[in-house]
Amino acid sequence: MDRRFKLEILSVTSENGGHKTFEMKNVFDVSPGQFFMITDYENGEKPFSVSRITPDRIFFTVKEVGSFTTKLFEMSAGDSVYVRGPYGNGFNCELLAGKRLLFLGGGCGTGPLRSLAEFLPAETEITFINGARSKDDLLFKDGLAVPLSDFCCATDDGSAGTVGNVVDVCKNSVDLNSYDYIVTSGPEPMLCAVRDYISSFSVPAFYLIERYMKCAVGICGQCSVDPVGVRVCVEGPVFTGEMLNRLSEFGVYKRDASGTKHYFKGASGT
Amino acid sequence: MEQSKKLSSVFMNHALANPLVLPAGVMDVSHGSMLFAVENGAGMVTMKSCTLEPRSGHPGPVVCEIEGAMINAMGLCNPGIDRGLEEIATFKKFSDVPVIASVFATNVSDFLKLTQSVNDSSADFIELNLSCPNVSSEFGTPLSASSEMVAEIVRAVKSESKLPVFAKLSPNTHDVIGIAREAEAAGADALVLINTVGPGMVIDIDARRPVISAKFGGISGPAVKPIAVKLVYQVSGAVQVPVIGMGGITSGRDVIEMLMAGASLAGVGTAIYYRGIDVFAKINAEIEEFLEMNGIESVTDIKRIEC
Ligand SMILES: Cc1cc2nc3c(=O)[nH]c(=O)nc-3n(C[C@H](O)[C@H](O)[C@H](O)COP(=O)(O)OP(=O)(O)OC[C@H]3O[C@@H](n4cnc5c(N)ncnc54)[C@H](O)[C@@H]3O)c2cc1C
Ligand SMILES: Cc1cc2nc3c(=O)[nH]c(=O)nc-3n(C[C@H](O)[C@H](O)[C@H](O)COP(=O)(O)O)c2cc1C
Repeated sequence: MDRRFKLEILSVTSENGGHKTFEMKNVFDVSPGQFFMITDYENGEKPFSVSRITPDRIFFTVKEVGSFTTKLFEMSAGDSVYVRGPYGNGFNCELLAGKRLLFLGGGCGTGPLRSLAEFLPAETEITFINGARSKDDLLFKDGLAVPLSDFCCATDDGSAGTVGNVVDVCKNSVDLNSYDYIVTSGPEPMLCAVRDYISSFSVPAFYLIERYMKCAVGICGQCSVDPVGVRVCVEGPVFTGEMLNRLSEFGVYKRDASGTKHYFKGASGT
Repeated sequence: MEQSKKLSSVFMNHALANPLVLPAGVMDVSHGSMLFAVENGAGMVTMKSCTLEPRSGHPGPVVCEIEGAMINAMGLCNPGIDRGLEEIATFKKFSDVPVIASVFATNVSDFLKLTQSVNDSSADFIELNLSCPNVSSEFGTPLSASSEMVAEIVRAVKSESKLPVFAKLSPNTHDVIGIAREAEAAGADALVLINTVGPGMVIDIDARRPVISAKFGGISGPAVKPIAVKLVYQVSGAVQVPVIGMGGITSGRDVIEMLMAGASLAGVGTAIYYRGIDVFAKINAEIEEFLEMNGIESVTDIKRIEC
């Protein structure tokens, strides 16, 4: 049953790049890549991925972009929000466990990758390439709660880690063929660059994508991706590379609250 | 999709693979979402009700599941009629399944403008949403609460429309049968019922706030089915035009029940929440099973019960 839980914010941590991480009690059966709908009953109800899962806690890492997130940023430990979920397919943890994985993350997209990295069993070999515009935007730059085979950062301006974006790092210093799977999450232009670059390799990939979401239970159709119509809230938010290649809207446009298309910069409407 | 002839029919000169219709507002704001329903077995689809101008709809929360039902107040979000009709055109590049263009307005002249746009589109039918309960704070009582209004709008649209005209009726009035008769007399080619019931209200007792941001929302899903069956039964007994029956249909047996109440086709909306997007294929298989077990040749042989 689609129940909303009143959850107290237990802690708020400021992160780089104007992000904040909110800690709440874990009263759910949730896995990495899934998301929740959070409301304050005043500023809308919005989807957020879990960025860390422990047996008794869940964490959300949020960027302030508009009315709801601004309200959330004003909240502190002791305040409450109303949460329903988890929703979406999440990552296929069974498949990924124990494999050699390349994680490519950018912006708040690194949140769900962190939860996955920390969730998978220790024998999983993970290379985590974490990208941002500059040092001050870089999330989780001090690494994660678990040791990884490799954790490296890339910034566009070179102020931390390697100069360039995650794809540049891949081109210069990563042998894609030595991985079983690529898992990527971040802003859509970054995901497109990843898709384009890895298309000449045969490593299967998983992409976590976002679309404007309303009901989150698969009936309103707002987050369907053309032309297949798969719903980010039910069939997603994690899609295989094969499915992504069938979603011709990906990287080209996304729909707003009315369903009107908005084209990404550089993409043209036809 | 491979389907048996037992489920097919001809509805107003359109060949349908099966009697299941995706209703307005459920998974149909884009060509992709409508194609996904067809891929999963819908026989006909409706595009989300479009207004002249785009609408973002109400802020969230817009839905809430309750025992046996769903309550929603999306707030008629839609990209506006021009873009909505582009979605239908794109849909038609991929599929030849018939499409109903649902339109919403609050007065005759806007309904006429919408009709002119739909005339020049690739839609197969036009449906007048006379019954959205979720914008009443904005627009007042649903239009289908007044039989004069319904008659006036249907008559005006009918005189302008190149396409068959469907009138979608509200269950939330005292005289649904009278309104249905008026709509038929005014020229409606088919009636669609029911829209959502209520509206209703759910309070989050922890927050001491209504769950739905618009306070009230229309109720759909299994709990409203007896109301839908009763109204379809009464209306189909009172008019000659076909009735598309919907409201809580979730299984093949529910479809048979709706056909026995007098419907020609059956809408399947909220059931997507309960049984997944492939609910259409599941229901089609269940209808076939019922036909098989009862030695019935075709779903079109199931008629309104005499009682
Ligand atoms: C599956 C999923 C997981 C997400 N996970 C995270 C996360 O972990 N951390 C995080 O910071 N953000 C995440 N987002 C994005 C987050 O939902 C939006 O930033 C948030 O909805 C903005 O709300 P607002 O009122 O502050 O901004 P608004 O003023 O409403 O809008 C600002 C921007 O956010 C986008 N947006 C607004 N509402 C939605 C919505 N309901 N669904 C999707 N996008 C929206 C708009 O397109 C716009 O570009 C996720 C989105 C999805 C779909
Ligand atoms: C989320 C949602 C949005 C809806 N939007 C519309 C709409 O825009 N126009 C309309 O005529 N009916 C709308 N309806 C009503 C449905 O078309 C249908 O009449 C009703 O839900 C009953 O069928 P069901 O129980 O199978 O969902 C909507 C219903 C739901 C659940």
